[in-house]
Amino acid sequence: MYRKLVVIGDVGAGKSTLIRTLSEIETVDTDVTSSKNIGKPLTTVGIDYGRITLGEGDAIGLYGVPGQKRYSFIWDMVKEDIWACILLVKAEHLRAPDKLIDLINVFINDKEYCPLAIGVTHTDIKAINQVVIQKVLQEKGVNAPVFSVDARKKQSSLLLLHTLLSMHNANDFSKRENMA
Amino acid sequence: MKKEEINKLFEGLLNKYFDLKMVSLCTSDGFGILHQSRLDDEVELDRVSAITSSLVSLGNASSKQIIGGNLHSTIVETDNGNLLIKKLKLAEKELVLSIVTSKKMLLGEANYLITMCAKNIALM
Repeated sequence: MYRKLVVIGDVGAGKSTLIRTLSEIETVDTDVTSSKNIGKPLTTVGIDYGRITLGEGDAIGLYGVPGQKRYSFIWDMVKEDIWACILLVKAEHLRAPDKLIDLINVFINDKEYCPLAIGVTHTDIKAINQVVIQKVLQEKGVNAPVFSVDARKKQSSLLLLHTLLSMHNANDFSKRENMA
Repeated sequence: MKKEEINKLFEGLLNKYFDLKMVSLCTSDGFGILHQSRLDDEVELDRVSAITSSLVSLGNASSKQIIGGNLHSTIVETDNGNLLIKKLKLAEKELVLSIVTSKKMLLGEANYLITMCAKNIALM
């Protein structure tokens, strides 16, 4: 089984870093030098791709897409058949949740079941209360677990992946219960 | 000043080559700089810039990971014409030049055209 995990989020939230941290293969990255001051020298303009093997014939493909709306043509290429979605939010960018909600809706709105986990990055630079984030997103109709994540660290990044696997398992269990 | 020169260059090319339908220049991270077009369906500079910068970066990843050489150009062939994209450097900044030609212009000619155009811009 091949599962497609999409990593979305704002510019500089750490999408490419998370994919590099989690992937077991050398990632396909499309980073280029940034012409504007976005707080980092490189930015993704195409797609990041990585892969995690779970077992024989069982893998997760990691797809990172740029967060800027002008790259929506890439969103359209990636958004089909998504297994799960990770939203990375840079701690200091939380004041504009509407953009994030729009982005979430592009990827998971019309899916039968597509779990979402939210990772707040750069919390070492700016401390943030995750409950506040959760509340802001809940008010916009998004109910998803929120974690503080360091995308540079494997254990921290795996937390998001394990959460999504657990959410899928719980959903499968609930489906079986309903059928019984 | 350079922008004006490049604009003149684009104008000159569009006047000289009837089968050249669009010329566009953007930064490697997809911000539009200049754009001239006589395509029937006009496309916005922002969209062209985002798409061409992505295609170049994907072409670059392909050349690095599959072929193992430096990327010269990225070509999209369609029923209606061809899109050619090339990276160039101007004042130490990485830029992306793209042209759209009608099907009547041979791919080799289009490739020569964009190569010359990129060289001219790089010399400015």
